Amino acid sequence: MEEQEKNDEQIVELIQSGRVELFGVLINRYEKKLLRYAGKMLDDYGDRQDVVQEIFIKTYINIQSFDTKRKFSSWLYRIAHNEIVNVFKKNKRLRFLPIFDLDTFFPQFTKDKSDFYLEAERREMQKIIEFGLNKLDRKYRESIILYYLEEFSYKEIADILKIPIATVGVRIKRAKQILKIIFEKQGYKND
Amino acid sequence: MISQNNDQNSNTKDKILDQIKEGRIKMKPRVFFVAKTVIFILSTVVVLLFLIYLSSFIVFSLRVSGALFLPIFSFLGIRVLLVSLPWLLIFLTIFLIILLEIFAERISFIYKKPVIYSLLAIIVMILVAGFVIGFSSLHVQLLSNAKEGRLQFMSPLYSDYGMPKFGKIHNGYVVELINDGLVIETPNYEILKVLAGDKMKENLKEDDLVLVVGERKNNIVKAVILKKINENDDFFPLRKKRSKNSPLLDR
Repeated sequence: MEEQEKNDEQIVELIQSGRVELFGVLINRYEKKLLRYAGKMLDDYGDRQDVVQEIFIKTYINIQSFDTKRKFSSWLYRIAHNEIVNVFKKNKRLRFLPIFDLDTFFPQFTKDKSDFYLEAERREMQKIIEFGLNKLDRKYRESIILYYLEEFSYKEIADILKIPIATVGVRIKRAKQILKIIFEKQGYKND
Repeated sequence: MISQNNDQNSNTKDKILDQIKEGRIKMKPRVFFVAKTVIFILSTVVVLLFLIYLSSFIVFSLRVSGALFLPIFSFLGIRVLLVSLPWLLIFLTIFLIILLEIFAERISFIYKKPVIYSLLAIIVMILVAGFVIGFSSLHVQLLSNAKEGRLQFMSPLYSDYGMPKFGKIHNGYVVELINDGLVIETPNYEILKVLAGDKMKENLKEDDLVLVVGERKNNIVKAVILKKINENDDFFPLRKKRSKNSPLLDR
């Protein structure tokens, strides 16, 4: 019971020192979130169960490489991101993976918003994001899921996707623009 | 639905924990990741050092062949320069720069910034280091050692891209002025007859260092461009070395 009160990083430290049974605590904490994340990224339900299992297996295998001074969830989602990319590659949904994406190449500029505005916007977006998500390109879809649904910061998303922080902002902004067009076509008005 | 989700959760958890207990899934030891990091750092350093060497060698080979003098001449000079550039080495350099950038993109403070910043930083660093080392005496010494057989594995590089084989560009010291041109001795100790009109060879005298652009057939070069190289010109390393009794040129 005591372990349930520890944070992720403390749990990982114990696992690294040999208490491998505590890996179950991490599975309890993240399985539903990862199923939701994989489900939003992949269309096939069968895929997402296998993918999440594979994510946890890879997490366990590589757990000694995790630096407990960093945030575990960002590291876990990095593994999840790589696993989803692998699924796309295997299913030939992603035939060509560019070494450098154009929007990571040049400087991008995005405005910072106040926390209050962000929180209100996040709640609103969480509601409406469901409708048009599958129409978004993978890279926009992933950024918007991580930000609005998984509630990571720009900096954390930059660490998960290994892209510049400003690019995260630009991808989210573009995703919202695309979603807005989709909603307007469906007769939805955002006040 | 909720109960189905809970079943799935405990199912995944049990499956994974069972596999861990049975030893079917094993965590990699910390030493594996330490070794991986060391290999990554070493690879990056090796690629960086090789890039600096390569870029400095390109600068040196352009400098020693006299190709760096060409753009001041004319459109023809620029064209000859472009044709004479060591493209294979340049493409290899570009490839290694991209490889180094891919390595660099694994580092947190680098991937958080736009690629163009780190790419430009790498290019500027390679160019500066390339020019500084290319203009130092390092390659002159290496070339000298290669010629004397003391650098066996590097000898082909220096003989292929060093002074002797640089397209239509030749240089050397005037040995003799003759009716239809002049005779030069290349830094590689070759004697070449240069066909050139009176106007081209005016102001030239014996022992002048000259740059010749032209097609070579056997030991005869038909000069399209003929230029005296200033003895004090920092771009050209060999004259100075000779005046200092360098083993490279003094037989």
